[in-house]
Amino acid sequence: MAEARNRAAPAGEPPASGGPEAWYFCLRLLGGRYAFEASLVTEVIRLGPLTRLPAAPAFLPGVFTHRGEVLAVLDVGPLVGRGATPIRPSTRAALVHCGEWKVAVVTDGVEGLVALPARSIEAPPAESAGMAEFLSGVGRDRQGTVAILDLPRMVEAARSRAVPAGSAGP
Amino acid sequence: MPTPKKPAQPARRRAPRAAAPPLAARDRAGRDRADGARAAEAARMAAAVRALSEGQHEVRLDPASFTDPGLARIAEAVNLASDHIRGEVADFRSRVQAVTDGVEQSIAAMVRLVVQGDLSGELRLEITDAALSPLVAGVAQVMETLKRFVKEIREAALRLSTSSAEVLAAATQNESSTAAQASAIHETTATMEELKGASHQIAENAQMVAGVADQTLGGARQGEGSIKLFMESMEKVRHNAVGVDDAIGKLSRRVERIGTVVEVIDEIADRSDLLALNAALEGAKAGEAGRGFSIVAAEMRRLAENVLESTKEIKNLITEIRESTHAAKEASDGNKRMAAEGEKIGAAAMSSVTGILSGIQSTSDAARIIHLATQQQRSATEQVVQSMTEIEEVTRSAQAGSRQATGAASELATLADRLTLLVQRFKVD
Amino acid sequence: MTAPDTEVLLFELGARIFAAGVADVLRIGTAADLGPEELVLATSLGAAGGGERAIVVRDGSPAGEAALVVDRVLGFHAVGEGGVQPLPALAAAVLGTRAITGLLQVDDATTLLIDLPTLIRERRAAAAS
Repeated sequence: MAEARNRAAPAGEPPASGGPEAWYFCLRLLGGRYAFEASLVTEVIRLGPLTRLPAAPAFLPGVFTHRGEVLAVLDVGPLVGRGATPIRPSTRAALVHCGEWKVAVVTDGVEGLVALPARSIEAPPAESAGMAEFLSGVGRDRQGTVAILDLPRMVEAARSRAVPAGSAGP
Repeated sequence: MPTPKKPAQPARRRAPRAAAPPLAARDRAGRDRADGARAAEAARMAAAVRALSEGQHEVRLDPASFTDPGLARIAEAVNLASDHIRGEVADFRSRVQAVTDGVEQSIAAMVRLVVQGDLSGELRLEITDAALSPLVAGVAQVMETLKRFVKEIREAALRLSTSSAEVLAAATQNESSTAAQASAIHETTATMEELKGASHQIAENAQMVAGVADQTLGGARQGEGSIKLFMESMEKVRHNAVGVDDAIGKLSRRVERIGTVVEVIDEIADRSDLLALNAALEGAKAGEAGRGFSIVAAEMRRLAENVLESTKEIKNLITEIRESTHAAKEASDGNKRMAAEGEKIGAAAMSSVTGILSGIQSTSDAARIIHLATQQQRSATEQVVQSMTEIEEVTRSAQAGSRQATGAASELATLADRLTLLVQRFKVD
Repeated sequence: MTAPDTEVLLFELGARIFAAGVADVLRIGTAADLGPEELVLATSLGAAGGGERAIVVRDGSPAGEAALVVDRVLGFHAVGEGGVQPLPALAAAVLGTRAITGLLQVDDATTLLIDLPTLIRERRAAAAS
């Protein structure tokens, strides 16, 4: 975790060492501000050309080779019942490392590290559908609300939604 | 009876002149003294008679006073005469009085008549004197005549009133109808003026149309010539298209023959390619051992691929040629169709032009007819306007006349009224 | 996953180029040569766009063989050691096919390596169910 934290990409923002605040990595997605534990992020990259995979679920637009490593690309939109995020040459993705899974999360934009005081974090809304399923709380900073994502839970959920074997079509 | 001319003077006796010789004068002195007494008595008698003749009817002579028995007898006669005269004068006076009274009554009656206008009833004059009956009759006559006159005048006034009222009504009606007529005529005149103007416009337009028609005619004639040329060129095109068709036909057939040959070559090359592929596959599966084999197979494949490339190129060429010939055939067919179309269009155009030409002719004629007609209309219209103007004049004077008539009738009516009023004063019934 | 300096067969299916290990391939033929029970026209990779080539592989079917119809067989490609990279774990876990066994670079293009027998088997299994 510590190494992961040190590998946090956003420049010039040293992480806090303990205290009532915690560091989150904030990005813009589906018209809102979402953040997850900063330690999960290894890098922020510009998504290059994707290799599409046949028989892939909607939330997996393809794989992407970065520094000689092939990475799966995760689009949160289809995962929570929303539309696919348009991927352009300028699209930024956050490389996250959730347990055994290495994933490039597609974003509409990256804000970077934010410090959210623990006391500002409220419980997430009660709906179980959509994004709310994966929220662990709702925080607030100077720019407004930030929804706090439980990224590992989300990735696990993704993994469980495999496409049935043997379907025709790409 | 001698009329007294001089004021009352002592009675101047006028002795009867007797022709006496002048020589007798001396004798007379004697006799004069006797005569003198007789003369004095005669003078006294003369004076009395004179006085009597002068109206002194109370004169009486005493016959005893006259020594002359003759004079005494004259004096008695004079007394008798005087009494008679007195009686006569008194009678006369009373008669005159009666007449005067009668006349005064008549006058009073007449005055009543004039002032009060009472012609009714009979004239009641209390004149008993028979001598006055002509007067009474005359007055009655006057009254009757007056009555009659008044009646007549009244009737006339009534008739006059009625007539003048009728005249006034008629005149007023006439005036208003002439006014209406005048305004109607005026309107008609105005309309006619407009019509004149409009027909002038029409005439001008017709002239313009005639001019345009002439121009169009010229253009159409030119068009006719162009169309003829066009049709000739269409004929040529059609002729050419047939030749092109033949050439294309020949080309297509040749290309098809080539195509067939190429298909065969293609098939063979494909087979070779497959063989080479499978050979290469075996070589690949054999790994290191099959390397040489793979190389040969690869070479074979290259050859086959070359052939395939060439045939592909030829096939492409053939496709291109087919497309071109197709296009050319299309174009030629198109040209033929176009030429046929063109000929049809040309024929249609020709008939159109012919139609136009005859149409233009009729338009020209029509325009000219219109022009003439409008000119005629113009003069007719002008005549009408002239007539209307004259009528207007007449109507205006009629209007003036009827205004005058109305005025006169009005005055007449007024006079009739006054007359009626006047005669109303006279009661005749 | 791959032995050093293996050859892969490159083929075109739909608008895409795939690679298959030669060890699985029996031969290459034309669709016309084979009977309908052996031909596999559509798989997870899609369907051929009018091609006539058939890649014949060993199969558990009664015929013993099955052939995938492809548009073109392009040739062979030698893959060096480490030339094939595995699919990322998440991708492999969520894909609806197990026939994609890795990725390799062919002339700077990332190409998927297909296990043809698995692909065909999956198709048959899906068709049977």
